[in-house]
Amino acid sequence: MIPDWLTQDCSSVPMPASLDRGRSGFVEKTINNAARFLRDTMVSETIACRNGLLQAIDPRIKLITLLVVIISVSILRSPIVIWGIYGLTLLLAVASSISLLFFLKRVWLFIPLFSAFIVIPALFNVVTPGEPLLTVFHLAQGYDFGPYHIPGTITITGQGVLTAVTFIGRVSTSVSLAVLLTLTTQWSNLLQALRVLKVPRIFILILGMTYRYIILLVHTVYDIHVARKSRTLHYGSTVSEQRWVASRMSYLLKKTYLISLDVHKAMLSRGYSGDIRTLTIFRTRGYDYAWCLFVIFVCAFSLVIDRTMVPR
Amino acid sequence: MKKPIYELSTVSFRYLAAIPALENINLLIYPGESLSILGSNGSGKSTLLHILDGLIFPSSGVIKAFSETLTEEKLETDSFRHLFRSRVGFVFQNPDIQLFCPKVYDEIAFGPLQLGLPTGEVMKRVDDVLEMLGISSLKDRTPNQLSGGEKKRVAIASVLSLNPQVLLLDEPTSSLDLRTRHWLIGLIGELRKAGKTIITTTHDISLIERISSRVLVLDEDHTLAADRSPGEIIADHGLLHRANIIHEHETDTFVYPRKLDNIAPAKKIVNFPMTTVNKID
Repeated sequence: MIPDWLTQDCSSVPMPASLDRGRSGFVEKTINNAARFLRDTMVSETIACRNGLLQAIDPRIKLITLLVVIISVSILRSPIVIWGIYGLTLLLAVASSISLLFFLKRVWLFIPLFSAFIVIPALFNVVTPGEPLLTVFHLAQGYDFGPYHIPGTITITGQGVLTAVTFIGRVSTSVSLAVLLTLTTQWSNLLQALRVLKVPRIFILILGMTYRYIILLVHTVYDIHVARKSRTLHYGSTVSEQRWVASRMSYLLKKTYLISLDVHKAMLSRGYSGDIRTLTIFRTRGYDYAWCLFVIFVCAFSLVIDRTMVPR
Repeated sequence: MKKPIYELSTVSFRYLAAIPALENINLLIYPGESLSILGSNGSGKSTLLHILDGLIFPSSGVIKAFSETLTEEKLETDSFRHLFRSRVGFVFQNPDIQLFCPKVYDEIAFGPLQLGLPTGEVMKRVDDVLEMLGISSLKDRTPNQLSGGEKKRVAIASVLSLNPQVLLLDEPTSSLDLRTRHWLIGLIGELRKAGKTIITTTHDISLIERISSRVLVLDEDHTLAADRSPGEIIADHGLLHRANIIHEHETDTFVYPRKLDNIAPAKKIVNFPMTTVNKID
């Protein structure tokens, strides 16, 4: 039997003035970030499936060679050579069908965060003494704190700028190489490639499953949010929003636990006995050897030029 | 007379030692049978499948599989676990549980690899099953890139690559669109013809005559209410009503669609060479 109120026109019900018109704020942002994570994941997988220079290389060879380049960059001293290799990463991105703007955004969003705070003090004569380029301010006098000396005039030094440029060059080139590796390799292949570094099979399996189920759970979080949003006329108070988030976190934790139990059953059902066996099918071709030679040449050439430009 | 694959004698199961899921089940299942387990939500259908797959064990009573008593200790022995897991395949209701590998290809290869089959044989099986189920184009995809129907196909492929003699299907048609449902019914028909023992749980009465030759009905008190042919079960409206499978208003008007119209047949079933471990005596 349908109650009377269910047959009435809902548009006639006025909005109560007492309703708290709180905003979603934190929750909305978190969920939007979750959605962005899903979108980025999809974009990364799409790029990895494109036809491009780096996509065509055996993931094992790609992992090892890019690692070698990162190590080489870390021992280079000349900022010109380091930035030259950075330029090469941009060319590699273009040759791998990656939009340059997308690639630059990926790399440079992280670099200020990680390196700026470290490198800013190195600009000043307090940390890196040298030829003053720009006077920032004057103190009444110099100060000494044990072995540390603070000069009376704080300046940005030429040596400080060189140190900063070299440091940022190293970080940006290394991050670019890592981003190139992850963008041009399917996550599953990248995990399998870790076997060449002798990472245990079980560890690779767990990493793969973690990635798989994180995405599934992020989907669940998004679905929960959308389901609630579709029934939300007014956001509640901050306290009620916090309670809701806490209750969903607890639900998700329980769900994660139940999924892990079920997945274990599904593994047992198909013969898993604690000793994992996996299939790795990678084929090394002439193209991969050519890439190896190219990387060896670039690294050797850079080291020679570097030592010529900045002798010990 | 063939030996039964499964012998259940007064099997009961309680979750957390308190909540009853199965009560006093006596059952024999023979090779090549197509068995549907019909029951309402919470009647114990999935629990029974989990017991048949050796994932959980009876609180009381005895289950024998392939003439051996199925216990946790027994399944910890390498030889029996290898024999049992190669003969019994379980397709879970939720494919997301079953698809835990990074890629579809790895997923289908997982089972045969765990059984220690040579790499060449594993790859042949994977390629054959991909082709048989028409999902070769999905082999490099991650599970997150699959639709619901595709996930179900991959989940079935991941079990078929084991070449099991017994196939346990938990609510196989739930949440499937009409085309995938018809495809699945066609596939089950082909697997029946290939001599597989198929045990399916469902609460969808329109499915049972299409996929099975024998039907068990689990009552809401978790006991076995009936064990008969599909035709007899469908005709017994009183039983179906008592077991909460059909509503009282449906008993007068219930018409079962007996014609299997427009069912897309599955591609040719691949018969993998039977290894010594999964051949049934």
